[in-house]
Amino acid sequence: MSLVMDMQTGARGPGGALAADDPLVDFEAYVRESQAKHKRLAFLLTGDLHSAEDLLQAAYAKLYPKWDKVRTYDAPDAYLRKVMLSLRTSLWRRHKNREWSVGELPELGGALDHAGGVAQSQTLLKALGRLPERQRAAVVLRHWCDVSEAETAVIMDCSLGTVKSNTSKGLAHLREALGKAEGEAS
Amino acid sequence: MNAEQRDPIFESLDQLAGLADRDLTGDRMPDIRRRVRATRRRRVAGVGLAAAAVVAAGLGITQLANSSAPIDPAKPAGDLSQTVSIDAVPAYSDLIQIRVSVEGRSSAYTDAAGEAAPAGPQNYQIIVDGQVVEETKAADVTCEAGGEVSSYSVGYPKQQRRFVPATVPGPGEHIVEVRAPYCADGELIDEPTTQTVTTALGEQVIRDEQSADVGGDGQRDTVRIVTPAEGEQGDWELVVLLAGDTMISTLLPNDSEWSLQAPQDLDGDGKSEIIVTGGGGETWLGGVYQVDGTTLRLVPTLDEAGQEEPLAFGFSDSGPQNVSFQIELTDDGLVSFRYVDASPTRPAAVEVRRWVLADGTLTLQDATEPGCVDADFTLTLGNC
Repeated sequence: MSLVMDMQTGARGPGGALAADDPLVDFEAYVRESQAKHKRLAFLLTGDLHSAEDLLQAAYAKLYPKWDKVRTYDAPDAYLRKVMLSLRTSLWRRHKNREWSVGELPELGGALDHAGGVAQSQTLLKALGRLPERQRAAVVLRHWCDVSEAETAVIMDCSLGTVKSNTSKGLAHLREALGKAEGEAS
Repeated sequence: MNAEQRDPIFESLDQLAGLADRDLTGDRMPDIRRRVRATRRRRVAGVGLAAAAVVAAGLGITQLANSSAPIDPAKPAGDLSQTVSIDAVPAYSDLIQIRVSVEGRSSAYTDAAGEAAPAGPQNYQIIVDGQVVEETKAADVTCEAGGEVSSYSVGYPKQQRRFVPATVPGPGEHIVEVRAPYCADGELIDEPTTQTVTTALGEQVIRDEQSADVGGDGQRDTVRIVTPAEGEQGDWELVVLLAGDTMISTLLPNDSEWSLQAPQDLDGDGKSEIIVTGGGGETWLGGVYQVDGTTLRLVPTLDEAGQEEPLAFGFSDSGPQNVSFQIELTDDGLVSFRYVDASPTRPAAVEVRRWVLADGTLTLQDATEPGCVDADFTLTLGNC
């Protein structure tokens, strides 16, 4: 699949010059620059801040020894997303109970501006937790990361049809949950 | 997709994801480096244990893997020697993965007609625990003085690692011995090289196993689904041991626990197809693989219009059960089925469609026929 080729072998073009000649400096810069968005992804995949932090650090640690090569890719982010998905899957497979944190949301501070936002996020968090892993990953990649179906298939290591079916079903579950909660609130 | 077009789900997900911002770690690098170091230590520890086992065995190992010195072509003709490197590692509890390389500089043999035969080993043996598991007896040659000296580098087997069964099945210590005699100006040098391999349970876990002729040579092959040991990172893997010595494998898609159906020759070409089914949470998946030489090929699945069609997908125990298709291997071949009712009680009527394998592609037939799933979840064709 051409996306695999692009992701793994495509060198950055003229507009994507490397940040530094020293791979270590470049990696540290990449971590600083990318950590916020990837932490968000990790949180949506795990549903828990501590698990998200662990997943993200583990993914960076997998990336670090390969950075000299990965930094030449067109999309190092895509590579890291694939690593995160793979790690998450491995973790999920090895825990028989496959728990998903459905506890209360973390301390919010000013992150959510109204009570409705809190309730909606709580509902969404629980609904995400009820999704099978692949459906959750497909929905998050397609509808939050804005990744194409083809690239999602590469990241999830599955066929396009599987991405479509998982996205469709996952989305339907989330919409149903959010709609139901909205109906109960009104 | 731009902001104006975004689905409300995006907004909701984005709002939820934003909660992760409050807990960003300051400097991630010390922890990342610590994790990398820990991973390296684990790998080194594994290598060290293997090396320690070799030393403890007290065997006269002349070379370990990858330790051969390069051949110096400037050496004098009289300096004849050979290095045999054995790269033998455990594979599961009952197989040893072996690759042998031989490098040397020796004099030519003389064949039966009195002509010079190539230098280097003309015959070799791989012996495990005293039993010959592989050997060649290529030529009737003699070692005579005065043969032309030349350098050589050969590997056994030529293309890939060879898997040989441990002579005593199960975990334990095994001695791999290689004999590759060479000619040194009239003197036949036959010094065995040995390596000790310790196989153990837990290096890989065999999750499922079937036996069938999937290679098409009339011999039964072993098909396995394996995973790393508990607690180790890694993927589920489909492994085929062709007639017991050549191994081919492919990683199975992530996020599912996979199992094997009994292999079945779906297209009548004499080679059985390998059918895997998987479930990730509540999602059921399937795939059909064919042995193609020394690779495993995932058979494409299409509908009758030629569009990609998953073999099975999206079966949910908790949702309506008349939405998505599951697959089942029947005496009549591979079929997909779905329940007629959203909340069926067994025996329950199902709608069945057949998959036809031809020209390396599985095609789902449009035509449907009735089926019945009984209380034991067994599918039979025909009405309940």
